[in-house]
Amino acid sequence: MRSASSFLALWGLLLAIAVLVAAFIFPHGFFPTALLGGAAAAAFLIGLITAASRTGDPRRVAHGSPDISPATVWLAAAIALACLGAEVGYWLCLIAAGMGGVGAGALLREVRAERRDVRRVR
Amino acid sequence: MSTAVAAPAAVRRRRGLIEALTGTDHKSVGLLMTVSALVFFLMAGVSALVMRTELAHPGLQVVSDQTYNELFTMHGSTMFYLFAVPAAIGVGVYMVPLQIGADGIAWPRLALLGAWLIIAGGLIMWSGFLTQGGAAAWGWTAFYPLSGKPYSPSTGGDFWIIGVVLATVGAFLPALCLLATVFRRRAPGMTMLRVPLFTWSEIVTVFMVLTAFPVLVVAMILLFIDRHGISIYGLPGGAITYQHLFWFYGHPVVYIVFFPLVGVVGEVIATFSRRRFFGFSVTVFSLLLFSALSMTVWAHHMFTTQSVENEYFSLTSTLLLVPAGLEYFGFLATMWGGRIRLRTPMLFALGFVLLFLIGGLTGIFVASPVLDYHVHDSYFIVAHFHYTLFGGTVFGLFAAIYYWFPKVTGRMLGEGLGRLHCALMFVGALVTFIPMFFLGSEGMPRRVADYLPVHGWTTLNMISTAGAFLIALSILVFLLNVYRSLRGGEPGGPDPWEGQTLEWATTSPPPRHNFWRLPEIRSHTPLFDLREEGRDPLAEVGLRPRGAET
Repeated sequence: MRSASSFLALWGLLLAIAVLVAAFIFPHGFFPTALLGGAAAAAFLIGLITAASRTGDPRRVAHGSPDISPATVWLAAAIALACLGAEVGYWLCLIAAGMGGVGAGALLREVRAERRDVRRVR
Repeated sequence: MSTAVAAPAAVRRRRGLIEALTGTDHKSVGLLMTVSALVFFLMAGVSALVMRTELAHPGLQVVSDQTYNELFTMHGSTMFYLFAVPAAIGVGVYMVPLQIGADGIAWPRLALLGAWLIIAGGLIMWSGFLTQGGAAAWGWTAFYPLSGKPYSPSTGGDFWIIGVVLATVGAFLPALCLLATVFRRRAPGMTMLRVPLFTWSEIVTVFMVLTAFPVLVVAMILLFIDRHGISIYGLPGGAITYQHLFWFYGHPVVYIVFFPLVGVVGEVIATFSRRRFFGFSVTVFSLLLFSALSMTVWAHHMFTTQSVENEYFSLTSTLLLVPAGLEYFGFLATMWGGRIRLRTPMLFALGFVLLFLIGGLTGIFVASPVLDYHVHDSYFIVAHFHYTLFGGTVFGLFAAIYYWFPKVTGRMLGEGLGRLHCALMFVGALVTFIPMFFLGSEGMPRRVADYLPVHGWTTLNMISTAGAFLIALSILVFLLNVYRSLRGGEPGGPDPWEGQTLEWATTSPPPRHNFWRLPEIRSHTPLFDLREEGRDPLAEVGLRPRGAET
């Protein structure tokens, strides 16, 4: 039980036991098996992905870029307006899409500037 | 041997409002989430006061029946979606990287995006009051068919659904970042079983968030589609399907908002008892078991529908006692023989232990189908879940706030006002919610705006309302305490409580990169280890000259 993902796998196993009990000892309906089974499978899947993903150097490289991201906030506003547009009208979705495009562009610019800074420090 | 941490050579600082609102540093995001959650808590609290005033006496018409329905909907929804969940995760976003010796959170922009989606979701949800038909009026559960278009045609209902989706996705994203941070960014020597208790409680919370939250999002999107002309829940069995999907989120979320505070309370009790948390490894495994079990109990909310296997859900619900008992044993055994300091965080932690016990024990009643049939949808249930949520989450959160306020701001909260706050809130919680048990047993249904004098519920309701105002008074004392502390409170220093975990091994507030130097990590209480060896933890990390300990 040393790796982080093994704890997630253990958790998924506990859910799987609950699924088996629900399915075989108290069989009643589709939902308990489906929902719990789905949750157990999701836990296993996330555990597998985290176990397989690259480790690399976990420590952030100190750089001079400011720790702010107005583009992210802008993007959040765009997403919220897009969702609201589903009720208010599709014109709002279009405005939100435009905002989202601008936000994504600004975000890309931020990330590139940060990477440039990291390379410079290294 | 300590580990030196590279500090940024040149950091351009942009302090102030822009940084507070758009900062990607985990401390900034965590603070944004927690403070916005507290603002929503105040809004939900005001709506509760209006409701309690309405119920103080039969025949009072402070608000109309429709407005009352909207208020209890927004009260419950705000408390869950906009306060408890964001606060539980927000505190983790601030503290988890510090506790594991990381210099930041993984995917900080994603965490910031999540924080803003929650705020946007809250604003959209509350803007339902501005629409012609008013806000949603179907309770925080939005049961179908009440939430269907024919029974709830208002636009406010659709705003509520959009708000819930945004807030849920918003909480999901920082939770994901937390998991990646714990899995990938732990300091050298910080194995999983050396991760502190609070961080462990956040880990199991995140496990539940990852598996339960997507189900709610799906349920809400389907409800939205259903309300716009394509019948989904209107099909045979649809209402039960909705309940399954909702409660698969709705019950785990009670634990999602509770577990992080179990971790906080465990750490506070250990620190103020000057001992290591008793049975740390067993508690970690009990948290894993507790969280897995709590994913399997959702349909105890559906006993009376007669559409679920009552025996299975009764069994799993009752089994929750085992891990809960282990945790309570851990709390008590940690205090046993400890040199206890009754400072404000400890008082709130003890309040948590006592009040949650009432919620937990009454939970055994309602886990039994025969008893649940009697008290279902009555004020007994309202009392039960307020002892778990108010006694658990709110007391735990205030324990966290008083404990970590010096770390976050560099200043101590006033001890006198803190004790007054705790005393008023504790008495208020008892006076408000105990009468509800009796009201429920006598048959008062929940979600009613009025009752008749012949029911004989007036006195108990009056007492309950008085208790609610006592809680409101305690919140005013807290706000005054925060104001006074920020204006000129006593400086806290890096480690005012003789803490045990890594967040106390740095300045208050911590620098952008969190640590100048990390101590050697050999257990889940690295600072306590050093003190046990007669070494000064602050001197070890270079925050105090050696031999200068007072």
